[in-house]
Amino acid sequence: MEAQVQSNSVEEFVVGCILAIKTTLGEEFQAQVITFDPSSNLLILHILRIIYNLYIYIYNEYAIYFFHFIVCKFFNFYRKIQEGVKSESGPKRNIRLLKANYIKEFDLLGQGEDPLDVNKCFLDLNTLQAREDSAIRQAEIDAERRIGVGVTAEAQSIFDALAKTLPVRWDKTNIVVMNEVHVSSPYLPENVTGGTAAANERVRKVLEFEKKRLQARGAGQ
Amino acid sequence: MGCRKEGLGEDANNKAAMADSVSDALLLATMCIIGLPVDVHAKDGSVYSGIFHTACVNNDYAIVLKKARMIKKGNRGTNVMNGRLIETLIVQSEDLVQVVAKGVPLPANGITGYVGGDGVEDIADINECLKREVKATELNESNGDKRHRSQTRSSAKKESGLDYISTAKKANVSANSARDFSETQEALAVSVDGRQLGNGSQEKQINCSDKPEFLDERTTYEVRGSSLSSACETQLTAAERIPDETNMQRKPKGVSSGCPAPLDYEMQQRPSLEEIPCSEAPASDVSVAATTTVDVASQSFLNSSLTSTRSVPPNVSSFNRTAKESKLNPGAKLFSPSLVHHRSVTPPAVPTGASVAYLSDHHAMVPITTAQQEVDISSFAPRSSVPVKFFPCSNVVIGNGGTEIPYVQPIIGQVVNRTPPGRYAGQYHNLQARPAYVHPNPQNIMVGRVGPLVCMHPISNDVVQGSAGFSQATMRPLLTQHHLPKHQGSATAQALQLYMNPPIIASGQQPFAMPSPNPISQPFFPVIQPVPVPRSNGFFSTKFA
Repeated sequence: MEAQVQSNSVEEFVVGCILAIKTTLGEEFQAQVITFDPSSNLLILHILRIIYNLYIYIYNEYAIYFFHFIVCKFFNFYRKIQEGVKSESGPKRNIRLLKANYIKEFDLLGQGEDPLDVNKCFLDLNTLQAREDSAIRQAEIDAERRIGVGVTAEAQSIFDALAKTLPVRWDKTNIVVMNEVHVSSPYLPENVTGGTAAANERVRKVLEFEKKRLQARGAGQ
Repeated sequence: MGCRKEGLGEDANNKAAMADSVSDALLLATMCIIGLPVDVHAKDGSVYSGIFHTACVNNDYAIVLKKARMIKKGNRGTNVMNGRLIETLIVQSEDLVQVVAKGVPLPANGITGYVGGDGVEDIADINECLKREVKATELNESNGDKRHRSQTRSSAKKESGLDYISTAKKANVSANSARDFSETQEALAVSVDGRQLGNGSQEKQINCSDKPEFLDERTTYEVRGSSLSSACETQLTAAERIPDETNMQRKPKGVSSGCPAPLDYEMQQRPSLEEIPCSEAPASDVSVAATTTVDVASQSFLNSSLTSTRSVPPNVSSFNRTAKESKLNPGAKLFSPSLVHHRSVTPPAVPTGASVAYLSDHHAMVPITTAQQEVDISSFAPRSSVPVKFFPCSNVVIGNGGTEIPYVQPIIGQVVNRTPPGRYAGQYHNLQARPAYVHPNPQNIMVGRVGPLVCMHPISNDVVQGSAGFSQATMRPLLTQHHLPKHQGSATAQALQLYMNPPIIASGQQPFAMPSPNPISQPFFPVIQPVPVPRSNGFFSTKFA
């Protein structure tokens, strides 16, 4: 699974060259080499375009119910990436630090300039720290919001399951999905109310699926 | 970390090193993604999403995530529950496949975005005063140029050779201490120049050309170490350069005639300088005070880290220095910069102060504040000499089977800045020793508290840190508002409020005795720090679990 790239080919990771990379985890993307660090064997890539994304796997288990949803999402994502390619010189980039020994194969697509301008390499530690702090704070707030107050463990696991694919929040003991569909206790498909018909239907299906899954897990234990 | 050590050894010129060395680019990329949400793919196919906290770049590349969450299960069993929030997740190098970060603001795209919003005005002010001062000192400069240069050279040697010079000598020769003081100041001034050079400011470049060799050294430190000086920072430190420079002009004369003269001069000079930007730019004042003291502190710590026997003399010498200063200038003038400095110590703390209560991971909470400070001040040498040790904080280590692997390697990023507590103690000690000579002020109480900290207790570090953080909170009411609601009802909140009153008054620079709030808050103080955080931690974690 690993170590497909021989050490002698390491020199091919010239800074600035544009590669099409397939990883052993099944991802495929085109990226420009920002740098390669031989000691840690890390390749730092500026992602230009994602051809096949691992994230589709993440939603795999919901694929049956959500296929169109995923496709939409993926399509949007892809479009965003395309835009990202256009605005290559824009302020934000998608970066990956990839261990070189997880590259299954790669093709050289071209040679670009060094993406890092050494003369402009400034970082503000204050900014970094502020960024991290606010991110952590945000994460905590989010995490707190994910926890329902006065709800059963089962309700929480349903919520967590829904949260994997959809934007959800608690409204007291009700789960609000996509700000429109309400799921009230005892969180059966028939407790799903509100929202557009499609959204409602979607939530129902997930709920059904989740219930089954939780039951199966409970039985398994 | 590793590469900075290298740099110290090689004495390489920084630009080439920066361009050639790959690990510098890796460092940079790592720094760029700090604080961003990243997805980390592990070897078994699992994917963790969290906030990139730091990384270890000692040969292999391990990373630390905060608030991590597994978003995809791997094909091997792990000790991480799917969907649960993990406070701190360490992904070991061998488990790491890739780190995916989106929306990374790579610095190559310009630095304008990095200047803090409120810093801009300050900079303008400082620049103004800078120009004025430069003009004022130009005449002197031409006179003192030769001596000036030679002295920088010697100070450069001293700085670089700190490890080797027997410190006892320094400490024993009392006259030397004063000169030392001036020298370290110069050194710092030069280092500031180095930064400015990087920043592309023309005035400083001229100055830099006077002392090229030293510049090299300094800049290497800078680049190797944190390597990251913001535009804002540099500007601020630039302001500090002025007093230093003026001092430099006078120092040689003063030394020949006797050391008190220059010191006194310097003391008088400073407040006058500060008066100009005072209202707008406390940060500039800050750097003035900060450099002197901190550098002293760093020296002493370096020595102490080298050999335990030597650790005493340098401290004494630094004491002498501060003592002299205060004697020479018994007025409040001396005090005001240090007060300002206190304020200044806190600004970087803002986020920390706010996050202290939130972070249930006590390791994360500890040193960020001063670490920041330190980086600003560019006293790198001591840091390299002491690898960061306190990172046994792995709540969870990915890796099938392995839990709680102590993490003793040096770590860059935030953690790099976390030097051992002793150093902070020393630093604070020096800072707060100053007011001790002058005022019966709230801060004196701090002195009493901080003094013992020199014995290097990790907890004491917390305490000091916390004090900075909380006092900070008062300055940014927004954050405190964030802060308090979370803890309302708990003892923590009350304790916080109690404590937060004094700094307001302290920052007013009034010699208030502050009898009532302080005594109340003080006894709580040591208790507060260790207790509430774990408590809140427990509270949240049970909630999360």
